Parts: sequence; structure tokens; C-alpha cells
Amino acid sequence: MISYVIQNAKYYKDMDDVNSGIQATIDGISCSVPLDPANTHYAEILKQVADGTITIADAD
Amino acid sequence: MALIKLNTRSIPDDAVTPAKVSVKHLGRRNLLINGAMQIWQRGTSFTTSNTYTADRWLTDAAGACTRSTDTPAPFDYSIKLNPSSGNAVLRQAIELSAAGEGGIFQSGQQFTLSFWLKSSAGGEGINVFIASSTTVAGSTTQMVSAIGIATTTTGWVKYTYTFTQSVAVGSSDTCYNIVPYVVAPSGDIYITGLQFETGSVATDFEHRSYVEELASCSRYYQNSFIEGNTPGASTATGDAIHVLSWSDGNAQGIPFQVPMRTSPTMIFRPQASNTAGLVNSSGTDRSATATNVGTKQVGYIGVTSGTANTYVRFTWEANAEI
Repeated sequence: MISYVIQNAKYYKDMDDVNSGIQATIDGISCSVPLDPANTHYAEILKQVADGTITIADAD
Repeated sequence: MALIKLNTRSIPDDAVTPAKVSVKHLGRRNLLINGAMQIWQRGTSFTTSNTYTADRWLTDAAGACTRSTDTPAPFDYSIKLNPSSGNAVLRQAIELSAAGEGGIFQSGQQFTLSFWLKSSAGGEGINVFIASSTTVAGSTTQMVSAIGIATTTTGWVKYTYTFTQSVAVGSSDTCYNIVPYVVAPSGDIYITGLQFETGSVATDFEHRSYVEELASCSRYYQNSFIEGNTPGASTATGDAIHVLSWSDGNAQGIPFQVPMRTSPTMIFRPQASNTAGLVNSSGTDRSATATNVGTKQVGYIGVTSGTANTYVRFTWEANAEI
């Protein structure tokens, strides 16, 4: 299993004020991660949240 | 000499046997993508662990990994691995049509893996691991577990391994992972010409055109960079796209070159810069997010304090690997 280092995870919203993705630093690179369960990074973020390793900050 | 005109009806059904058909002319045998190491969209030199290198190929261990022109004929490129510790591993996830849907990957089906490999030292174990899973590095359902198939030599050798799948893929599995590796090599390992096909025979490698392989790879990863330029390292102005910003400072989205496997993770960098998470809005670098991302496009670019009604320029990477 690939072990990603995920930091600074925070939701962001679209123009309809709905959460659209998570901005996070993954292995040192700032990324936009869509809220799609088939997306490998999103699945890993959910896993690390469930494990208590990280939390996701609310959108501004 | 009299000529005999043949038509379909005059050829007996049992006259055309597999032995009389040149298999090399039959396409779509190779279930792997980029087996000849033609496509390197992420660059051609890597050092970190758990990294995609040649398109669709993930390596495990840290250490040097580069594109090489040391190959057997008629290949142009191989992948050269020199892990600083551990095994020299290549992984590719073959996508299933849906979770638990094995397709041709059924219990009782016979498969053959073949590849060319060369080592700078001899006598190292060449192993194969095959499993279905939810990710490229997972192993929910093991098909072949660390089978040793040969030992390395210092010249190019084509290795083959045939097995019969004994169990079905797992109900949540979305991919079928092919993992050849060399156990703790002491030097360089070169690999190319990887082919995974149904049946018990390792047929000649199925060569595909560059453009065909690039399109297949781009379902899983694509970027805006000039081919040959490395994302995160290149600062060529031609790597970037220029789009228009709206009255609220956000910017129009981008279509993907081919549809992607799933909504991809996006990386933005300003034109001529290697700082991720930013775009250049009318001359100033601003934080940016990929908003309303689908498999065929990024809906729009959210730009923090972006300048209205002007240009936004940036490079992008889209990653939908399994």
C-alpha cells in the first residue's frame, strides 16, 4: 500500500457554496483533490481521517 | 500453373489452425499499457520511493530510476532501476470495468506474463506477484504470491511465466496488479517489453504506435507540458495554458485531452514557476483550486483574490491512477 504524507487538508467550495474538493499538500506538493471515492488520493484522505491521522478543515 | 480462386466458403473450417496464423499480426493481445516504455510524461529520471516513473509503471524502493536506451532489439527504451535498498519492483494496475467485475480475469483462465530483463550482476532472483485489489500496491486477492521464475544474467533474456487463475477477483477490487521484481539487486536492473496476455504462450511483443500508447496512458495521467519537459522542473513558457478570468477573478476551466478514469487530482503551477498550488493572475501568483472536476474537464479554476477580466496562466497535471 502506498503511504501518502497528507498535510493541511481543507475543503473548498464552488460558486454555489457547496464543497467541491479538498486542497491538501500530498507528499510535499499542493494538490486539488475532488470528492470522488474512486480518486485514490480522496480515498486515502478518508482513510487517514478514519484512522485519526489527519483532519480536514472546513472551507472558508 | 493454374490459379485457384479461393473464397470464404471454399476454405474448410479445419484448414485454418492457430499454427498457420502469424500471431504477431493479431492485435490487442497485451493487457498492459506502455510495456515498451515509450511514454514518460512525468520525466525520465526519478529518485523517490513509491513513484510513477514511465507512464503506468510504479516503482517501490527509493533509488535511481531512469529511462535507458540499453535494450534488446527492437525496443527503443527500457527502464533502469537501481534501488538503494530492497527489491527492484515494477507495478502496473490493469483497470477492471467496475468493482468486482473480473471480465476476462476469471477463475480457470490461463495467463502468460513475459518481459525482457538484464542485470549488471547475475544470480539475483526474479519474482512475480499478481493480485487483484483496490489500488496498484494492494493485494486484496492474491493470484500469484512471490513466485520465483528465474535468476538474472548480465545479458538480455526474455522471461516468461504462465499461470492459471484459481480464484475470482474480490468483490471490491477495481484492478488487477502485475508486479515483476528482482530481489535485492546489487546493481542496475533493466526491464522492457512487458506483455501480459491470455493463454499459455508468450507471443511476440505487440508493438503499438506512440500516439496510441500516449492516449491509453492519458486515461490515468496527463499534463500541459511540452513532451519531454518535466513537471515541477521545467519553466518553459510553452508548458502553460492561458485562459480568461471572469468578473469575480476566477478563471475558465480546461478540457482534458482524453477522458480520465475518474475525477483526477489536479496540480497547478504558475507559468514558468515550480511552486504548486498557484496560478499567475495578471502577473501575480495566486492560490488556486480545481473546482467542479469531472472525468472530461475541470469546471473552473478558483483563484483567491484573482484579477477580474484578464489572463490567467498556469501549467497543470491531472492524476487518476488506480
